[in-house]
Amino acid sequence: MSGVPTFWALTRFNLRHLLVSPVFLVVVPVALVGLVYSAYRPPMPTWSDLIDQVRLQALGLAAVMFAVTTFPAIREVRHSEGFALPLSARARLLSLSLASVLVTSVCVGVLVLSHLVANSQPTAGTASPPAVLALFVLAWCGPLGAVASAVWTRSYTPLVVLLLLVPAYLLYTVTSMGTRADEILRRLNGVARWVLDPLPVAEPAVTELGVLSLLHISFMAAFLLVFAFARREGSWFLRPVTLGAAALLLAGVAFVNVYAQRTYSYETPFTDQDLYGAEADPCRVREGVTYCPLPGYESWIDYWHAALSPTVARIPDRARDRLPVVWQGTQHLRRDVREFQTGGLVFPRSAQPFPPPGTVIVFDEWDPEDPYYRDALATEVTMNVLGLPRYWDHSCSGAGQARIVLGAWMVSADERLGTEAAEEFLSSYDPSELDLSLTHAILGLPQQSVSQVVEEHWESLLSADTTTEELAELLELSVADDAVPDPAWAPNRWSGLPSPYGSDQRDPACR
Amino acid sequence: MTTGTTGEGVWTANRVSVSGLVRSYGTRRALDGIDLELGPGVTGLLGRNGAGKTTLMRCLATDLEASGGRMRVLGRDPERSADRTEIRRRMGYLPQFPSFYPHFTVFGLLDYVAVLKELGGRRERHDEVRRAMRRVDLYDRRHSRVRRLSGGMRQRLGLAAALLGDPELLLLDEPTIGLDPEQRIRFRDLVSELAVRSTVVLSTHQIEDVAALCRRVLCLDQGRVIFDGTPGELVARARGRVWEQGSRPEEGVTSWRLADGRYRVLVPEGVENPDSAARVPVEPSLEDAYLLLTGARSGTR
Repeated sequence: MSGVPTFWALTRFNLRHLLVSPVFLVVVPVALVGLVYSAYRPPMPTWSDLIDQVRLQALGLAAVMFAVTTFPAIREVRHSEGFALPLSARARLLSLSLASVLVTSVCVGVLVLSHLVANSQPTAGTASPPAVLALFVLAWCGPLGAVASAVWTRSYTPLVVLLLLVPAYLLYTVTSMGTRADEILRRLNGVARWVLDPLPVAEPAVTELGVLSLLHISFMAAFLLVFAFARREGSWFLRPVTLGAAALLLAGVAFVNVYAQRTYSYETPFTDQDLYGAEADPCRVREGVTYCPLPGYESWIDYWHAALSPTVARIPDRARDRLPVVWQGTQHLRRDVREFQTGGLVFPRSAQPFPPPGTVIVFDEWDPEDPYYRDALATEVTMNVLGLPRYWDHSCSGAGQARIVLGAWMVSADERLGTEAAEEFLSSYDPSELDLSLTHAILGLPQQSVSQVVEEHWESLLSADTTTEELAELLELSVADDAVPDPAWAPNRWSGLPSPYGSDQRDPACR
Repeated sequence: MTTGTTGEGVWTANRVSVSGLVRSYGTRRALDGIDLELGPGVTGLLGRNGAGKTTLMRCLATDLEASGGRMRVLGRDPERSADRTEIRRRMGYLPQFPSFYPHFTVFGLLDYVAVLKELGGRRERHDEVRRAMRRVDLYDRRHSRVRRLSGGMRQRLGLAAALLGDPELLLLDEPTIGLDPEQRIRFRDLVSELAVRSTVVLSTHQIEDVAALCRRVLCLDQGRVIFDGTPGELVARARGRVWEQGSRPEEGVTSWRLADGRYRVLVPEGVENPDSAARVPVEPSLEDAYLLLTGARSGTR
């Protein structure tokens, strides 16, 4: 029988004994249940959220597996030496490391699966395989650290220190809030984060970031393993060589860290080609609206369209070509689209087709039950269609312009948003009292009658020169009529802010 | 294959062949040019503390590298890694101070050693583990944690670990420490049975065990073999040098007081018997012979 089958037989033995060890049987299920139960579950889960969550959980799991592995590691270094057994001490430690890593991997897999299964919606987005693998390797550092510490100390001291440090840290975190110690903790957290995660950018879909993350944590895991073996190396020649290899791996950790910190920042843009699972043409058209989701977010088109379709239905068919393209982006992804939209530079790295002039950005967060997201999307699309500048880019006054009243009517098409959306829309364009009154009156009219007027006079209504009075006339509403109520229905919208219509100083008129 | 004679029989198929074996710790030589050939049967290794017994056992067990000399164990060269592994597969070794992982059960620990000794598939391995537990009378304690075992039970556990796989070479360093008389008898029976096919080296201070078990005795002193022969030959060297007398003897001889108030006196070779008229010559035991051998060299009283 050669040594290889013995190695596997020992690995199976180690696996069995790890799984039935009292520490494992008690601590791991409790930890897993705790980690799964306490996990944050967003209404529309994404791989980005999942990776963030599992990274934290993997760290906790690493600590637990450190405890579980310490016991058999001590067995190997303190109790199995004198029997002159055929499998070398290094092979036995490697076998134990492998068994622990396998058990840890299964636990990480359970954590990942728990997110995928327990989430109410399918997990959107993508994560590059290296980014996912990095989570596993991060958790491996626990058992490998246990082996390394047992080999070097031959005692349970590291485990005792860990058992004291973790609760002390948690307690300190709570009790130090608002004190100077809070700053110390913050810095400690920063150092820990620096050591464990070199990237200042959290975009798991970006393959190059995933590769860096995996490289960094793999160097760390390999360092722990080689560092452990260096202690077992008795030869005067091999021991310094092994220690040198461990030092090189540690230098690798530092190098990747420094490289990542210097290369990437919060401002770093990535193109679609950098994304795992990117398609050549990510865009899909629904009822004339073009949606360009990020890879893996295709299912969200339904939600975006559900938010937009009532508003789109109020736009005349012949005006559908004015509908903007809905692009999905984040701080780092599709930044070229965003920069174009805001008049900034288009990044030369972009190989995407140049985005059309009318673009709307949606992000990687969405909650179909939260009106904020629907309102924001409907509002931005309406602004584009009506040619109104985006108020957060160019502050201007739309007072007296028929199109801001029309916009308020369009965004209120979603019954779930109702008049609040109209108020919100108007408030962005410094409306006059008449605008408010007319908007309220229009919302009281049958939709069909307003739609008919909009259909017939669309082109003129888009003009900044068409006034609110003219729109009232088209709708056969008299502004002096009693049908126009007191505009006080909306003052709470601006309470606490300088009154946009009570001031003599207005922004320049929107063009 | 070589053969040798002991006077009480012939042993064949040498499993251990050592020539000029040296092991140094710094400037001190724990083994200083050992030559020996061992075949099937039980060989007792005697010597005072620090004589080099454990160092020799560890070298034979490939647990310790020799500083010089030549060694063949089970036909293999322990200096070569592959050979060393092969030796360890075919050998059983009970170290002087075996350290057991206290959280293992008896079965778990033996199963662990059996895995490392590459004892076949799971079923065969477990059968062998059960057999070893029965041989040392630990089967009833198979589910007990090692930390709950008494010293004697742990010693038996170490013995069971060494017995796994019917090793061709069995190295037992102080195996009977902590065993009660009943267990010692059982141990002797077991080792005798094993010695029919295996080479057993028994390092011990228990002369009775050597007398009961060994066909051959090696005495070490200061890292050298000072006697290599049968127990009978060792005893024969002491004939006429062991006496009993009523009064405490003078300096220069080894003696101790007996239960009946008389003194047993060992007169080393080359020392004159000052008062032979008052003394009664007695048949020497192996212990007398051993003490004479080692005491004469060091000049104890």
